[in-house]
Amino acid sequence: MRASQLMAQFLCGCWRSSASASDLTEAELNFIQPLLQSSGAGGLAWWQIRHSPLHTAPVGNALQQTFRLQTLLAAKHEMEIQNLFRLMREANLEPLLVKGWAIAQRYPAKGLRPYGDIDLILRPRDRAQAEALLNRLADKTFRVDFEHEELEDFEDQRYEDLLAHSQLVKLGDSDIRVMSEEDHLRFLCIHLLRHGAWRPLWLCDIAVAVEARPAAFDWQRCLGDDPTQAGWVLSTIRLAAELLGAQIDHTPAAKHRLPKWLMPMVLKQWEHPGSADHAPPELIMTSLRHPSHLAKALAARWPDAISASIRMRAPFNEKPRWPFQLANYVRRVTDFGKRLASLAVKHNL
Amino acid sequence: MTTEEIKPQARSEGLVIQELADEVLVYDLQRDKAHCLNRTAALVWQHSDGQNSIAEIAAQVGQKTGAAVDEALVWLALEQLSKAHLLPAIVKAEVGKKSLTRREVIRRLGIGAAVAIPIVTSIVAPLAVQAATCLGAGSPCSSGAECCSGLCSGTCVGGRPGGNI
Repeated sequence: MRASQLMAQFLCGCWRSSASASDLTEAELNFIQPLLQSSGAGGLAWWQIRHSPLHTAPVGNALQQTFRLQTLLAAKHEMEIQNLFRLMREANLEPLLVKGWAIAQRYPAKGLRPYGDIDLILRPRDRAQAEALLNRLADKTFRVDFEHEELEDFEDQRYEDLLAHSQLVKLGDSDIRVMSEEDHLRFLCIHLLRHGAWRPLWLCDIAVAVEARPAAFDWQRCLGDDPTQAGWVLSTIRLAAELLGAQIDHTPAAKHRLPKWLMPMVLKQWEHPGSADHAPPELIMTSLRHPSHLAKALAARWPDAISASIRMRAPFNEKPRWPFQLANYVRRVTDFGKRLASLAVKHNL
Repeated sequence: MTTEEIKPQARSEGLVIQELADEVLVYDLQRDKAHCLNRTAALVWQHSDGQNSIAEIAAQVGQKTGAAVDEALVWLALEQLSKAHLLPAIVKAEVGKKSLTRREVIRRLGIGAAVAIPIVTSIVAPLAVQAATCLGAGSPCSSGAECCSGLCSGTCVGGRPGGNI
């Protein structure tokens, strides 16, 4: 069995409070441990085996250490979020927190999910003020990301709509503003797809969001009016069910059919689920200075079928993906060339 | 300073503390180090409030665990807490004079001691590279090397990071 299939089998249901080990052997867990750790699923892996004999094995100890460290870093991250919201509100800014803690708070324990940047959504016209505010901060230990490709053509009006449907969630004595369950599930699905679905953790987030949804969950709002986007969201939820055993009964995704290429593509991505595997291998500018490296750098930027489909707004169906990959590639190369030219003009080169 | 006069006080500044079911986790923000205290070590640390003597700490830990606790056990815990910088320096010197090795404590208490030997361990674990490894379009930058595209004009021009969590 491939490592990615083994990882999917092992992570089945790992986000639930009752999570317990699958029947993996110690050797199998040893085999997938590096993938689990590098993809950010180490804490969830510990949760799966915490009541099994594997928890005392060396691999179990290593995973428990990850869980412990993530627990502490999560507490630190929560303090940073509280401080950030306080600062923003003092400046009359009301951000929406997405991904990260916004979904992690639905998991049963703090150490299950790692954190990266703090992802905030603001009114586009408020962004410069927020960035200036952050630049004045003495504490530069955390990074805030205001850039979210998931929200295409994002304008003030769209922010007002998200804000109107948003909710406040308690974090200590602070109220943190997060998207509505519907908007956030859609956002998480599109984020996963835009990045080619390479982190299993992102699919766990989808499973958590679907299983923890309130009874009054508005599927119409979640799926939206665009059938292509609705298809992406439904496919992602279906993937969470097929690969990780998410409960999707009584959802529109229950009867949704996945295109045949999608699941093998996700499993292929999961063979390399570490950030290092997905960072640009060499900066294009560096390659330009060393033409012999250019071909390799360009080849490494060939898009995967999933992210290319999303970026070209292609529906998920049985049609081949390579035309979308090619179109996306050409578009990116062209865009890059245009930016390079405008930069050259700007600097009189 | 006599044993009765020593009243250790746990450090409280610059720490992130998380209590789990049977252990306490501590993150030292000043040193960027994480520690795991087992129940006995955690109880000694929690009762080191600057008011309790070693004998009083032993008695209070004994109350919590439901078993008699030898002062040697408290000294061993303090020794380890001190090494992890979880006690202020002033106590360190005194602890150094009084403390016993783990082996000595086990010999003194016997292997079947009712209370677990205090253990403070460092938490070391690989973590996923969580943040983006390069800056995406629009991020403030000072050189092209910081940007995914390699192009910096005050903010990064083009390019996207590798996928944040």
